[in-house]
Amino acid sequence: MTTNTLGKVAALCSVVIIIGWGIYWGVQVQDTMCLLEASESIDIPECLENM
Amino acid sequence: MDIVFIFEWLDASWLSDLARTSAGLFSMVQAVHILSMIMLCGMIILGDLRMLNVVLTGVPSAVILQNTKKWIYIGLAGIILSGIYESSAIAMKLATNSFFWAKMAGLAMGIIFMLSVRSAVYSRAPEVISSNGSQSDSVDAWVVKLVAVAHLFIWFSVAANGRWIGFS
Repeated sequence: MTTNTLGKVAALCSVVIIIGWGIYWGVQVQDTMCLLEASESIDIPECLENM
Repeated sequence: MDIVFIFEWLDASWLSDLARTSAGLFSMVQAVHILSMIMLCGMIILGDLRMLNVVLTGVPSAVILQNTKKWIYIGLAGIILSGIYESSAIAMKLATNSFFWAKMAGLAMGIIFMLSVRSAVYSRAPEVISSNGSQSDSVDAWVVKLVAVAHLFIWFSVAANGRWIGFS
């Protein structure tokens, strides 16, 4: 593989990983906040229905 | 593909019996698992932060990468072997645990990324290339930094998902 191709492949893989990481942890934090909210309230929060 | 049979086999194995009956040994293996993870992540953080020009900027990158490689492999072997032992105690629980699968996906991704992309890009990083003499065949510095950040993100996920298994 040429250095130019390697650079492009590496940049693409890295960008996909960083975006995927952001989405994954965004959802995890959102779910955790929802569960925290559910544990503190008597009523079932709306976000629980979307989980 | 249904791979629950692997967990059923592990759950019924002598390893599982040993892990469930010997609390002292389980605690020691757990300590080995955590220490291996610390060593692995420590070496990875050191190498990646060096490539980001954050730490040990006075030391050549090639020296740091060369010296951390062995400890990364030792750490990897440690977390995989101790992880198999630990998971045998709660194999059936882990088979349906989403954080366990996220950790395994991260681990597989981290190993593949480290051995393929990271290794190839770092060996052709401008600093590493210049220390070897030929400067014409190097990747752009921003690609090296992007790879370092992506690699750090992957291993953060492995460690965080491992901790999350304990909460779920």
